[in-house]
Amino acid sequence: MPKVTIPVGPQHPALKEPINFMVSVDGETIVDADMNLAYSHRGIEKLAESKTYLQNIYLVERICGICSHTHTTCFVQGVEELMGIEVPERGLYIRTLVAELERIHSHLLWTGVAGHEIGFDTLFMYTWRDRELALDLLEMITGNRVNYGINTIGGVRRNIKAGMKDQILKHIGKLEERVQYYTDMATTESTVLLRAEGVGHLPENEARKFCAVGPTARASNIPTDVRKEDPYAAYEELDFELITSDSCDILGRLIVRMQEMVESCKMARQLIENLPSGPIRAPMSREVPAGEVVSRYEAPRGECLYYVKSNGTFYPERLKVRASTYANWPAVVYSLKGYYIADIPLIIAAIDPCMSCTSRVAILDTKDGNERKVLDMDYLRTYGIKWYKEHGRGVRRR
Amino acid sequence: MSEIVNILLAVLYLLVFPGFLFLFFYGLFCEYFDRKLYARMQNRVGPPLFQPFADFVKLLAKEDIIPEKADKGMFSIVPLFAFAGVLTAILYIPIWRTDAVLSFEGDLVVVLFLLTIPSFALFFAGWHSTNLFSQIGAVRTVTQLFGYEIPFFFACLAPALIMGTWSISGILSQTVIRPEVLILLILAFIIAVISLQAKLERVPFDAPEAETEIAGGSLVEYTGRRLAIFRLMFNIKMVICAALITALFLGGPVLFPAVPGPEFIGYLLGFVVFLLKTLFVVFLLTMMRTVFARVRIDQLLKFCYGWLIPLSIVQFLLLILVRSMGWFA
Amino acid sequence: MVRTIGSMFPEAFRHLWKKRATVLYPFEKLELTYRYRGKLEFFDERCKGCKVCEEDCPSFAMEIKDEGKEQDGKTKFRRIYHTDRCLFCGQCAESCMSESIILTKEFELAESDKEKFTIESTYSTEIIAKEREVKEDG
Ligand code: SF4
Ligand code: SF4
Repeated sequence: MPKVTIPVGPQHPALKEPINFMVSVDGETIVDADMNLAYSHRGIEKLAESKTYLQNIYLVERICGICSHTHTTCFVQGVEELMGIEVPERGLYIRTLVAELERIHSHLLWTGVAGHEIGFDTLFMYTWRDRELALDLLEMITGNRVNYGINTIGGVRRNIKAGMKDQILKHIGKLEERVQYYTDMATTESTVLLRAEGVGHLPENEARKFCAVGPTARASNIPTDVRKEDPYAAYEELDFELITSDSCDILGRLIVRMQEMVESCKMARQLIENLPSGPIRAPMSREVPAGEVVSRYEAPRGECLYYVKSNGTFYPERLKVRASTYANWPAVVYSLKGYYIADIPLIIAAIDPCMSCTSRVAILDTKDGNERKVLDMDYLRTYGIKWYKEHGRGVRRR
Repeated sequence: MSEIVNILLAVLYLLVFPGFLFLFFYGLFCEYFDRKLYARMQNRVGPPLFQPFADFVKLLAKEDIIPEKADKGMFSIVPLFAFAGVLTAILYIPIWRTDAVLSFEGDLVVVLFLLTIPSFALFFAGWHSTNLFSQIGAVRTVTQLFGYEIPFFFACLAPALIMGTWSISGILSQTVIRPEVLILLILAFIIAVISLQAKLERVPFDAPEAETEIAGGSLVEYTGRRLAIFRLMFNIKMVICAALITALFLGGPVLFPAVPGPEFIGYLLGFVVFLLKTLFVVFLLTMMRTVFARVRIDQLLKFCYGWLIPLSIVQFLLLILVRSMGWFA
Repeated sequence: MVRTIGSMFPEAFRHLWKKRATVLYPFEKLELTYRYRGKLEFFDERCKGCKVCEEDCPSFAMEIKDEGKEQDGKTKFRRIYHTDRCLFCGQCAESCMSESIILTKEFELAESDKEKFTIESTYSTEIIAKEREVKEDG
């Protein structure tokens, strides 16, 4: 076949999210790749400016469904720093526990998705089944499975009762066992290795150049982890290892995530066993003193960064969100080149992409002479009615 | 008089049993069986018994779209062509006794040939859809064909070599006489099942239709009744291939040891045995689909040329040795 | 590196005889924790009319309208609660100092009629000054 450009996304069964890759292929080999982001700009940063800090917790929680705790923690950490609030120990521990459970569920989810991308649906079904263990714990602690709503400025909203500890430890034990099983299985199964080994190579220097974060960077042997570099919440008191891998390929990213889950289970155990007593939240006021702050957080996908600027009112003046996937895109485009069409879904999935992590701005280029206008709902409605009147209801048949 | 009866009988064979009607229901049942097992092995519920049938009916009712740039003639004729191809093949495969409806010396080759028609049909379907993904799928279909077809042929011809006949019914009657020969064919059986999986384009060899890579491959533009026919064709192809493997390697409808009794009971029993054996082959295929990840097309070719073909040659050499020494005669 | 082939086989085969993990939802239901945040329930007689719930709601799902004085000196209020806007964060229940908002376990709230999403009630109460307290879920 001659050299052709195939569009992958924004509607493609491998990536059920709005992103587009234009991949030039020569036969089955990828020679070039380009990426178009920002199909779904949600205007969250602008919206945040019109909501109080307390309301914004629930807004940023909904940036991403998988790492909702990431966004709230990152946000409230910043606000707490601005307000100079000391969060009680117990609050920090609960926050960290939820964060680690979230990491386990996110990584299990990723393992399943990666399995699905290479046609290994059995792995997908089993990991997602066992992910329920983590979700059950989260539901028990926070009340909900996805948007936990546990963070608030000054601490956490729900306490861990004495009776819950046993249940948590029991589930953690089961999770550890299952994670160990998946690690052994996925890293020795030949068909998985055939697809993962040596694919999507991202050497260390390139990863540094592209500022990759999280497991993607750690799999390229860059020891970066906010939990170690700039410990927040209760991480300083925890004993855990920073997992890296020097294989720089998808297998490395798989192994890093797998072992991180083991570490997370270990941490969750430590947190439960050493849970301090005392209050879970500090009193807070709704007014935030003027100032600006940058808050960092190690999300399951990598470093998440919030910038909050306050002008001394109830409302933030500016909220900037740099979520982790955004930092990893250039690395994907790099690591696509030279591999096969068949590897596209897996290479893209290997960074654990989350489109809601990416789109924070929409850029309009008004200098190219084309006229642009904003179409509001009413305009679209009348346009739609007019269109259907002219064209008829059914899809055109030929 | 007898001519009319013969013609009626031929129509019956072709349209009812073992032809279209039987294959239609058994094909759908096999799809159910496959999906249900797959689901159960994944700890899911799986579809109810009538799901494949409901899917089929639903597809028939759907809108039928032909892409603007597609070659209309080819686009519509190809599914029927493939369907007719696989339907014909069943007539040569024994289902309830040792001889098939039709048989002649060399029908094994005809069946093998008829079973390659769907792959070519897929290629034409994909190519003439003029969609990028379907064209990539079409090219992969043909590439894959060159990988699996050789070991599949070799494996299926192995029984012919040792039994000394090129007719499926003949092989089966020989099997009844000396069933111990089947032990020699275990390797060929394994090769046949593996390459069959590639022939049916199922995980781990489903690169030509890989949903997450090329969005379904050749059939990406097909909708409505044409897609329904294609899907039915795949089911029937699975049944026929399983039946072929049953006849060649597992003794077809023959139950060892044979049960004495009136003839029709023997036929009925044979039919049940045939169903059980084909379901066993389907089970093996499902098992493979469950526990493996998809391999890339180049890896598939490497696997076929590096493992399956050498192994089938080894099998051939073994059989030639056995024959020339006169063992198992 | 160790290589195996079909290493998921024992696990998959074992599950042929195991009970499915799927919960057939409308027929079987999972038990929710008591902390579940579902549809809100109101105890209007306890409300003090401070409007903090309205103020703290991130999605404008709660409206407390002042309807003027009654003869006995109490103020009449109208509470409008939009279930379709509510994101069940529970902030209102947490902020309410008189505990007049309770979260229930009800989550099957789909309706085909848009009107049904709005729940209204009127009641009269004495207004008291705004004050806040920090609560802990026990
Ligand atoms: S639960 Fe949250 S969204 Fe719903 S009314 Fe209360 S504060 Fe508003
Ligand atoms: S916060 Fe409570 S007391 Fe105040 S208005 Fe709302 S329901 Fe009434």
